[in-house]
Amino acid sequence: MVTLRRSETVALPAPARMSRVGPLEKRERRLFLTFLAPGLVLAIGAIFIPVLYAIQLSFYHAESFIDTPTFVGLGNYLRIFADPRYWEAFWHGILYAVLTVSLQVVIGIAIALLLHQEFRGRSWLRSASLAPYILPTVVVVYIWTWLLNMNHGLINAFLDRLGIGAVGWFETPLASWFTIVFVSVWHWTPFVIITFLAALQTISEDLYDAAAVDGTNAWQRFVYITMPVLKPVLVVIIMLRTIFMFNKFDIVWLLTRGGPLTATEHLPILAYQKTFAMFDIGGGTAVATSIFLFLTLLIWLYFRLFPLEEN
Amino acid sequence: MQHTRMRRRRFLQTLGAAGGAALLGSTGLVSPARAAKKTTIRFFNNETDPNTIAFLKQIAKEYQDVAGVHIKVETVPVLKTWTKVTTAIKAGKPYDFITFGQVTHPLLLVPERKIVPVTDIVREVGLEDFGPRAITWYQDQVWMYPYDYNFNYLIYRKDWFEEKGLQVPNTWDEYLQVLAALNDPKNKRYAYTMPISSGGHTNWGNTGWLWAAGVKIYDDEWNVILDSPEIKPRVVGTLEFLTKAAQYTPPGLLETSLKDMLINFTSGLSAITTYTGRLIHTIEDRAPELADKYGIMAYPAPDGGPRAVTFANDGFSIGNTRNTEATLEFFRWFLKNGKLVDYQLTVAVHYQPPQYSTYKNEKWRSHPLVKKHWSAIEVMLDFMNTDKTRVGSIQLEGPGPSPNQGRIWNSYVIPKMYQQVLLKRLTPSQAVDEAAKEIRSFTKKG
Amino acid sequence: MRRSIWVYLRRAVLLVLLAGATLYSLFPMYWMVISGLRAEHKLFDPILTPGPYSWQSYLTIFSLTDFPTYYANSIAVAIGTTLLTVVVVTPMAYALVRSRLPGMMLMVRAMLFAYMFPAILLAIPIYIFLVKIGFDDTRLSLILTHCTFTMPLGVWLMWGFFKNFPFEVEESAFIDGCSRLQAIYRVIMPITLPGVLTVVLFSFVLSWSDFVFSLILISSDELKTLPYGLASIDDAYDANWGELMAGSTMICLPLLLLFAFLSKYFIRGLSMGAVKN
Repeated sequence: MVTLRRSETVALPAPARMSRVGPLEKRERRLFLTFLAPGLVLAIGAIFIPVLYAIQLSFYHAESFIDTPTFVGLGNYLRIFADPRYWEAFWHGILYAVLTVSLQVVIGIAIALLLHQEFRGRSWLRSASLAPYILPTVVVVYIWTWLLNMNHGLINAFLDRLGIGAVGWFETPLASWFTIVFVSVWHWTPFVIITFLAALQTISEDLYDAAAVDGTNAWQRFVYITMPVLKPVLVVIIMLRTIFMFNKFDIVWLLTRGGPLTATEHLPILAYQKTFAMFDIGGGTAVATSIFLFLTLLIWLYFRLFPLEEN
Repeated sequence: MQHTRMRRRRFLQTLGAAGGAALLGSTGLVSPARAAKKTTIRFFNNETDPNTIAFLKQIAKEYQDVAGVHIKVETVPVLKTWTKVTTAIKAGKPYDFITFGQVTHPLLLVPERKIVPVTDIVREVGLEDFGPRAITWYQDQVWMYPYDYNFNYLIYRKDWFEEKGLQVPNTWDEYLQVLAALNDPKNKRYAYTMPISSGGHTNWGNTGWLWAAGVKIYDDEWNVILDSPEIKPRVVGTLEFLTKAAQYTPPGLLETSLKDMLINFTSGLSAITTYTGRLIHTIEDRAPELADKYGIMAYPAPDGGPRAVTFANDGFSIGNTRNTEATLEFFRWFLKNGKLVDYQLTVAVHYQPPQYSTYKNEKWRSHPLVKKHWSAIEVMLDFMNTDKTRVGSIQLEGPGPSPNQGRIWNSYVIPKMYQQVLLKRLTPSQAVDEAAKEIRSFTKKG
Repeated sequence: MRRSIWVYLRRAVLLVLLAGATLYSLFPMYWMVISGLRAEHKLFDPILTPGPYSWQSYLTIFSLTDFPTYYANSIAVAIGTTLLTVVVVTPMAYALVRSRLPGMMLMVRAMLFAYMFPAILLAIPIYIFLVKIGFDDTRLSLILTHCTFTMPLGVWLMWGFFKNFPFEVEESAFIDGCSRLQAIYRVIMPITLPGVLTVVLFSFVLSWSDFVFSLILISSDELKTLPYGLASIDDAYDANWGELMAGSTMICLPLLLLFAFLSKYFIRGLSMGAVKN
């Protein structure tokens, strides 16, 4: 039996394996299905069913987890969409994503270009510049709230000594926005750096040398050689990062809790607040579902622009 | 008498069962766990102080020895109490014995009969033993046994007051004069630390002025009266007062957290801060040199008269579960053997006992921290005197317990009202209107 | 002569910029480590190289809080998540690349879709669902939910890995008379190891760092993992900055160690995500 299978395998030329019939194909198919099964079970059990359940709950009214839900149809949606606070939070999310992504890209490219230079200890510095990315968000937040602390923080002490005076980094809506954007950029820029470094490495040195011989300056080389290589990566990164940043919950929540007032409140915070603090599980899941739909739209757009099969 | 006998019998039974189980276990016939068919009481604890947790674990061990009942203590931070207790019920794993950080939560469980009354136990102790507001009646029953008033009040540097020849202020004008006299930004010394930012710390730690001014949020039918002709001037007055007081706060008013309130006072940055007995404990731990240099006071009223403190009663409730009987028995044992006092002494001056008898209890009185801080405790006793002190809280607003109070708390509508004024976004009058509007939007009547 | 000045100047500028970039990346971490080690009464002195040093903050956090328990939980959850992810993801990605079953691309896309989903959006429904079936507040539920982000990323990384993996290697194994399973076991597994290592690394780091799922799913103190544990120490004990920074340092330690030895795989994983696509 075993020998037979072996001889069959040997006998089959590579193209024949693509055909759809045959006992081997069946056996292989079973093997592949076994390979796929655990992942599918996990995905269905841990992602799809809960998401469907949440969507279902968004059509109900429930004040707590022990409450018996009552069906309200689209009531929760009509209510949240009529609330100006929802739209304020929506635009906060967009603003946060746009600001953090553009800064990450600018700083990321700058540092990537710097680390692309030849110098001793380059690989060590590359690792060092990556480090903020692997810190847990909670730690990042604690480090920065400590550094930025009003009365005892190092940064304010430094500013004070320079004669600028201490700054209230969480005092006003503007300062809070600066803080959440800055800390987010610090935390996530390394992702951009690494990606760009990888892209830069695909450019052959000869190209630069040839261009240098032609008497071009550094800026021209950047625009005509480097940028065309970075551009496709750039587009992908902007897309991906925007989707990520639009929904970053932990860093904003831990830094400002959405305040002062609701100045830094975005949709994930609103969903969390409604579900866990405002006795409004239907409203919370409705907000979550609305983000879900918006994101699906964005991701669909992403796949339209960058089909997977292309490479 | 009967109680002790029963306990002894039960104890012997347990010993017998344990011995038998050990025997059977050793012969490999029955696993020990199955042989001893034991009750397990699930104890939901939200007091996260290490001393308290260690004490509860010790109690569990003691009760295991005494009654053969296993007590599983699960510690959850107070802010997650409601979510955890309700989800545990939903998941079919309800808690038998629960500490609550506010009385609204247990009362919200009453309509669904998820907890049982402790009225009998309170009566056994004697109703007259409990201080004002300590006991909340609902549907003619008591549902939570209080162990800590958790009042929020003002703590001040007595030595600095003396240095400047200042008296404890009795009106808001006097208070502002005291602040002006104490404030010394050039030497990094500020008069007053108070929280403003959105969060429980402001709901609890900076609403005392509202209660002192006689502010009410609801009438007895859940109508919002915050912006009524009678109440609104009081709220506006409070907001104007807070704006003036804000000139004397350390920089960073909008990011002041509970941590800052502790640090600012213990590090000498601030002369007055709002807090509770926890701060006295922190002084002992981190700044012992201040132990005889502080005083406490309730929030003065605008024009003198009764002062106010903010109340956030902590207490025990008993779940309606299959272990209810065993839990009631445990709780009676806990009370009769003086464990409540031991429990309160785990963070001695932090917990303010709501029972008069505790203040006469020898063991309690002779605790070194209680003795050392007796002058503060005398003031705490004044907080229990209804002639001298008004007790207010978001939880006490309206005709009865309701998610409405929880929504006021969690929507941070009061901190936001403060921020609107202090960030100069709105005038005090507009801020009151907006807060009232928001409260109306989420208030459900009936 | 002029040329060499130009070279020196260029080098100096580069040096300054590099120093700036390094300072920007590393200084906050330096301050974290230092603050955790400073004696408490010196904590509020804004001096860059401060003494005296003391282990007090570490002693406090270890003796007075449940930090050791959180540590054990984090280790258990991160290792559990990592193992589960690798075991599930590797065969799945292989099948996605090699099998000619219908709908494979759809599945890859679904995985990427799931990966782009923010934790908070998944956490709320998952939590409500777990409450419904009575399975919230357990370590296993945390492991399973951590897989909702490690698995899509893992499939994505391994899919890219297998896709660039030459078919000929397998074919030569077939010719040697192996069945597919044997070919996988003998030939493919060993070569796959670097890819698997990348997945291991990412799963571990993501699970170790997670705050959101822990915040929402876990309530009991004895089940908390480190990031949420530290946040609740802050809430419950009014911890001092020294203690918080000591705790933060302890949380980062395993990550920084992993990173120091295996940064190659990190970089590979990160650049694979975006460049290849």
